[in-house]
Amino acid sequence: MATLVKDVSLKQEATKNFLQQKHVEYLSSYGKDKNDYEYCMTEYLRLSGIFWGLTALDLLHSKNRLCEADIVEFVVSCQKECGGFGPSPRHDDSILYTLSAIQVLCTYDKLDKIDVNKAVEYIGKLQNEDGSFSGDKWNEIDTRFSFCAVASLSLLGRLWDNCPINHEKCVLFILSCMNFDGGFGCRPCSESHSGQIYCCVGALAILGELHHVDANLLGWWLCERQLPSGGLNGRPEKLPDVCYSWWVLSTLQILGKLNWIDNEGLKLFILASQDDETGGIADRPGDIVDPFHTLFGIAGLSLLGEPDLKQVNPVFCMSQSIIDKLNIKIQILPSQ
Amino acid sequence: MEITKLLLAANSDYSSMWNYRKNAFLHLKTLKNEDEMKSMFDNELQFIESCLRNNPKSYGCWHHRCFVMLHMMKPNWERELQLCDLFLQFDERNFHCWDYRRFVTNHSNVPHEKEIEVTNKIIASNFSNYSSWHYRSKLLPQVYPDPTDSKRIEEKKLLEELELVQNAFFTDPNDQSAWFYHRWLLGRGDKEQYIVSLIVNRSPPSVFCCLRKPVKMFNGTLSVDDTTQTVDWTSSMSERYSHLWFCKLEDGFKKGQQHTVSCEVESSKLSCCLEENCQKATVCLPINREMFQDHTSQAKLSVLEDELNSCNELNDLEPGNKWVMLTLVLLMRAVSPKQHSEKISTMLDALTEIDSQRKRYYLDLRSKYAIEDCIVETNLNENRLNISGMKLTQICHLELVPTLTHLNISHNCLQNLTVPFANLFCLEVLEANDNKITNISGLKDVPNLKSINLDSNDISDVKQFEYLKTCRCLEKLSIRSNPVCESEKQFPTTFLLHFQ
Ligand SMILES: [Zn+2]
Repeated sequence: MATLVKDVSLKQEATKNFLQQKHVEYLSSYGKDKNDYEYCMTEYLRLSGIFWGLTALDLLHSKNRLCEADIVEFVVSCQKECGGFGPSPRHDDSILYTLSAIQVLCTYDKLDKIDVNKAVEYIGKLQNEDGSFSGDKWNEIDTRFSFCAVASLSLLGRLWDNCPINHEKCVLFILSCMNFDGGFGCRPCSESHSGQIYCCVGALAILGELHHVDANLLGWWLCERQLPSGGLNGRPEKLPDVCYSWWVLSTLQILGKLNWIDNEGLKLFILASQDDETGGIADRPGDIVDPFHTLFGIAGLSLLGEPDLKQVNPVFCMSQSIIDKLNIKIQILPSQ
Repeated sequence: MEITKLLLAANSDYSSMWNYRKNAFLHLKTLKNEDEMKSMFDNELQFIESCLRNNPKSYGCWHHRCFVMLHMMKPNWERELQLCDLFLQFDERNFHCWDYRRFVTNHSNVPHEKEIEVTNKIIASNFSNYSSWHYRSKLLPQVYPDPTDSKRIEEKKLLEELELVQNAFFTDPNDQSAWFYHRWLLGRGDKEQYIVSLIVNRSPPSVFCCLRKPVKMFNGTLSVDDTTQTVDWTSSMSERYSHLWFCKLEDGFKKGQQHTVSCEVESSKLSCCLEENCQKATVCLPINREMFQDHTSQAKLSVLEDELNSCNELNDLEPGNKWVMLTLVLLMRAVSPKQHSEKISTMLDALTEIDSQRKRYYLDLRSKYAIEDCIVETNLNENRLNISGMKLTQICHLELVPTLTHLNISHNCLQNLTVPFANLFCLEVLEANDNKITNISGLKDVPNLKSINLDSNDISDVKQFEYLKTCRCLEKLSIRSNPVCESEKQFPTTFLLHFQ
């Protein structure tokens, strides 16, 4: 009953160069054809889609390839009466898209175009008695929403002054989702999952509470996500994926343990997941590219020190220069 | 309603459409009778099930199912458990389904014992199931809690678990689920808080207290000659959480008299004697092995020895298996670090080769062990620590040695001095020569640091020395044989004037 290692193998001829210009072309033309089937079917996450494309282009020094005025107008039109944002004007609000909206507006330095107080109030109301956050008024609870709340308030400059949420309870809820492996899940008792770990560790980093994390234990679990192909998976016994590579990698960076994995191997895995004809990055080599994996691939390469990219912030997944300009200080454990 | 159904059938992540249906149900509940609602809800559950068959990982679907169950008058929880069984058969790692299962068992008061049975069955059919091991780590402490730590398991059950997990890794030594679980079983919970050292100054009358774990607020009880004092503790660090706390004593000490100062927090107490003719006194908690070890009881030690024997057996059967080897290292370290020190070192060396992707993990682990051994063997009341020439790749445990005046970390493999040295507020001399250091950002605000030796390192950026400006007492800095010295032109003379 021996377990087979689930993995992929990189082809000898796979690209080893970073196709910077191709990615710029891919991202700036994505969604140009508004009648495209795929474009229509992703309306329910349009705002997040904009964040992925814009941030990837920003890291590629090509933010100007998108029309700022159109995007800002669109984002503003997504804010609802309640203060939260929907993925597009016709859709319901959720804290997920509220964070995306704020990230996009911060990238353009245009927070003054929305009602910030209302957005802050909206986030505050989503906190529950036990410190957890609901995603919207329907009360689904998930540590992803805790991250969205903390990250949004931080970007709005309202995490410390005039803050509507209870930090202590927020931290206690996140800690109640900690597991035997040092990782975190969606809710108390949920299995560890690297996306969820990124959210919980990210929220604790923003709140300056990282000492609650057992960095040695969790770091070990995280570095064991790397497979022989160099790619990382999101949980034990799963296939490697570029997006999970980002969540594991950024968490390792926050914990000061980036060097616990083979950086060169991961870099080759991400590079091999590029489409050398169309540009863009897929979940793994040979698959179809999309803006989501393109962003996380590029962000991962930035953390790994790719010289053609801007430096990315591991918690916010935005250019470090934006975070610096907003004067946001987060806790990152020293890397030795 | 029909349109949203079509849209959701095509894409179950379309959350606004689920919301639309939730609103509709809330509205219908005010219009229809119980029977009508029951059949509508039943249809909805069927519809959700069909969506889940297409997309078993849809957050929106599972959440909508919770919504429906919570709004039904007589929800059939039994049927939901069967649905979970079915979906878990299809994908035993689907965490959405596991979470839904826990939602169902909570609402229908399924006893934890019964759920443990479920994981027994799954594990019996296939050991390699991380989700089930995870679930056990949550269930067992609730049914069989350790009397001293509610997050862990009582000894008797622990032995049974160890046997089960041993069966798992003997069946397949490459099954990482079992190894992660095994490491948890052998570990122990949170390390308790204790006072590491006290530093008492006669004038101005004040006390520094250093803690093992950083805290946001400190309210330790301070007494002088058995009289409790009213003091305000303030953190002397800029971080929100601090190991190091400071207070002034209002009444002060009498000139030329001996005083005993004690500090107490939780179950830890430390006392320091300020001799009659002394201005300052320090005391350190002797650091013993146990503080670094992961087991608490004597009984557990014999369990560890048994584990060590079976892992050695497995290592003979499966030489070169990294999971077996790392576990052996951890076990040898837990049972008798001194006796096994050579073997631990050889095994860690071998692991850096066998599992080269994680080379740095093993090197850091070895550095940690080396530092621990050195701290245990040093009389800290002499305030000197020498951890040179040990191939260290990281520095750790500085919070345990706050009274050091001399620290020697030279001739190692350190690349960065980024850990904060500011906790070492007595430190006067730091020898860090002959490493590969490029970054010294951790040397900020070390208040009493007088001399630093950074000879033969890799510092190439002159800006690194800016950090040292915050060390007010610095008199001597040696930076011979660093790349920065070769490009002398860009090296500002102000630094040269200031530094020897
Ligand atoms: Zn992915």
